[in-house]
Amino acid sequence: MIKVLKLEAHEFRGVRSLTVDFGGQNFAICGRNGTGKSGIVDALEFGLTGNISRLSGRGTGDISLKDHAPHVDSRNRPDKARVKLTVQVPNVDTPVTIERSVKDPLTPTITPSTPPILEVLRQVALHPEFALSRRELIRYVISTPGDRATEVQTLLQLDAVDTVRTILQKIANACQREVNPLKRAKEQAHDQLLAALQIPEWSTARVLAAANTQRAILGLPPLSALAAATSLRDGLAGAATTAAPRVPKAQATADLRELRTLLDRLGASEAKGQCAAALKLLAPLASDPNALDSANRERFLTAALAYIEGEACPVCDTDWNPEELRALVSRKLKRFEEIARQRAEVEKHCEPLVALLDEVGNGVRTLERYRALVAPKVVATAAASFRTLAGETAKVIESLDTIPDAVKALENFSAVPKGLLDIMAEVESAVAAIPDPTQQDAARDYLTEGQVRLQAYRDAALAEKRAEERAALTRKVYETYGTISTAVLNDIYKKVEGQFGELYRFINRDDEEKFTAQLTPSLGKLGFDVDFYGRGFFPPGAYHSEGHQDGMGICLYLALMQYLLEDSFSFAVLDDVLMSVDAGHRREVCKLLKEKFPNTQFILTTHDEIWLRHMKSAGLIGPRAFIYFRTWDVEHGPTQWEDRDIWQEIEAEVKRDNVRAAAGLLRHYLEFASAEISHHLRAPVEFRGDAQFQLGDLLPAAIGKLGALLREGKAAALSWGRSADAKAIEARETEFKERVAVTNVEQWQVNPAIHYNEWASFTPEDFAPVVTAYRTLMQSFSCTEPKCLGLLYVQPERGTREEVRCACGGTNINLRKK
Amino acid sequence: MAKRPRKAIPEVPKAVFEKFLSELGKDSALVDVAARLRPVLLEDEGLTEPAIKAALLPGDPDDKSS
Repeated sequence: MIKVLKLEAHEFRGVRSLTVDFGGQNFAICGRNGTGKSGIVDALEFGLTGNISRLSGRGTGDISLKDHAPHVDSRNRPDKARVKLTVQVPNVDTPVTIERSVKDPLTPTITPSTPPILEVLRQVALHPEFALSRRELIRYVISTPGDRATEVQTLLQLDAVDTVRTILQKIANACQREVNPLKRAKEQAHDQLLAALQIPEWSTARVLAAANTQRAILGLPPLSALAAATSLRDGLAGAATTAAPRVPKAQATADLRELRTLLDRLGASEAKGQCAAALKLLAPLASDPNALDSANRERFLTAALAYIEGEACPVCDTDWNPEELRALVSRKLKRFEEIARQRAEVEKHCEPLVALLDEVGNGVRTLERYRALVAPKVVATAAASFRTLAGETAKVIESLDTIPDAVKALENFSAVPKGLLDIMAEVESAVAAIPDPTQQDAARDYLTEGQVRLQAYRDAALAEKRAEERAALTRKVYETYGTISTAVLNDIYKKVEGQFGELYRFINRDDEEKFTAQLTPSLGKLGFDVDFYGRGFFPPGAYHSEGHQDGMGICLYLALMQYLLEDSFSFAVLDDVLMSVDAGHRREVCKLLKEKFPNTQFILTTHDEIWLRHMKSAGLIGPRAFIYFRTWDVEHGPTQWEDRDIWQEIEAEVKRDNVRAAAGLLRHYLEFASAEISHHLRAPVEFRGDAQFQLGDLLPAAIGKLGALLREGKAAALSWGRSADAKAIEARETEFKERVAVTNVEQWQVNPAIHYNEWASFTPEDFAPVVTAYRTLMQSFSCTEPKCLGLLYVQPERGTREEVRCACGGTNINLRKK
Repeated sequence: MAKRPRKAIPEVPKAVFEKFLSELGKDSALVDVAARLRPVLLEDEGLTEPAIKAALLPGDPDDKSS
């Protein structure tokens, strides 16, 4: 991956115009909530990916990148909202710039844009997870197993794995669903064939014997075998097939008898039992509006999933990536798992009922056929209506599309209209009145109808066989996919689990050096249990403190990123994470990031300046590798405590005759700077439990400490016989004393100006010397090299003081005496 | 609507697909399926149901994608 050298943002989110030099190094952004830190995170993400997750992820409602990424005053000018990143790309000597505007976020201007550079940046854009916020962090740890799986899957970009699994399952299920109706059709064709051949059960010998008996009557040679192409009518004159259709009396009698049996089964106890069981399950759904609503939504989403094929929503035609839309709908469907389970139970009871209705429908169709052939003609409107009704009932209870309709259908399941029974009686009478055919006619009818039904059976058997083969193949492919993907993911989770444990032990080695964790994947879920002081494995939220959970979150994230990117894990943004980790463990987290990820550039935001100090003192960030936002307003965006700018700002206020504002700025800046100086010089400040130190607590301590250090340095230099160094320190000490003296003289003017609201009596002429005095004093605490200007600090941070120095080494005062 | 180019396949899904196809290829009855699925899963053909179904069941009378 890459490292970020510089960020320039204009009219973007809360930023009007801002440049941050990261220098490819770890960097911290500190500031109270609402000072604009997240704007930088957004700008980094946008610059690298063309997207802002927090404006496009779930739960963002009507918020969108295009409408809300520009500064509010430029909301109608997305072209003005721009981010430019300067990055270092591996194996490329010159820096690369990426510039994007919100108007056209997916078409960045990349300079230079050689294919290797474009490929690296394409890979970066594939991993928006380089930015981690605390909100996301917590979802790795204390969410439900289903939600955690979703989070981890998102980070590992497993959507495509899940998409293929869903599609393969859907195809396999669809193929399996095709089998049963075809099987039923084959069984019905089989029964009808046996009825036509008048044999009790199927065997080749029986079929041949029965057919040959009839063939003998007609003087036809016997059939010796029943191959796939064998016709029972073989040798029968073609004219017979073109004769006017007539009712085969024996066959019609048998068919009508069979239909009566089927109609009786509609009201028999077996069907009634299945209906009652299905109704018992459906009744609560039908009567509870919430359950009914859930059932409807589950049905709607299931149907929607089936229709997501193109690159647009099947409902509203909004442009969508089908993989993302499918994942979204699948996530929604997970909320209706219980409803889906109940639906499956109902389907089990409905399946035999649907089969029975199919048979009844076929029987009625046969009745209608005979009705058309008998004399006198029988009006059969009721038969057609009943057949249609039976078909609709089967459809309603098979699909369960509308639960109230399914309930009604099941309640009326066994009802057979009197009109149908009347028609049956009329057709039965008409058939009975048909004169018995001659033996030859009967044999001809037998062979003709037998052949028709034999062929129908063969066709049905072939269709069922093909469906079985398709179902077996798709099932096998789906199961293989499941086995392989589970194995691959288990392997990944095992590695991540080990790495996670190692990282967590690193930051908690003082009291959890034997800590281990268990990541347990199951279908669509990811269990996460952690050891609690050897007492067993529990969910992270069960016993561990919030601070420990934050630590777990970042360790799990880092373990996943390390697995995912390996050596390419060179850049990450940690947005206000670890806010609840206690001070001791924060140092360890800093060490973890520094020592375990030496090649990764971390951009860290925090609202906690203590945390910022930990980063600095642990060496995670360099002495000047941070910015400190002091305020934000909609007109100007974030402004930072930047000493090179603050003096200009104060002087500008004085020139504008606004002494009140200038004095306020001066005091607030001196408070901030004195705290930094006191920390860097290890100055003794009266402790306050609320950490609310004021200027009067801090500045005298800082001044006193620097004076003492200069004296110590001078004495140490003399002890080593380094008189030149001692003279230089003395000169610095003298200059420092003079500067302090000037501020002491002027200090009386500062405090009243701020504390007692007496600014009205000050003129800019009175206040300007105050500003100059403090500006000059502050320079004594910094390196004088223009390229450095960094605050002086004592080394080491704890224990015996050894030296006072700055980041560039331009100032280095030894404190150790000979 | 212009067809959107498919995003590159991320590392983990790619590993899963490669191993899956390799496993299918070990079964003589599924060698052809693996060959037809390969471009769908690993090349720029899009992970859509019609494409996967056509690879599994070529010549399927219900297949509207071919």
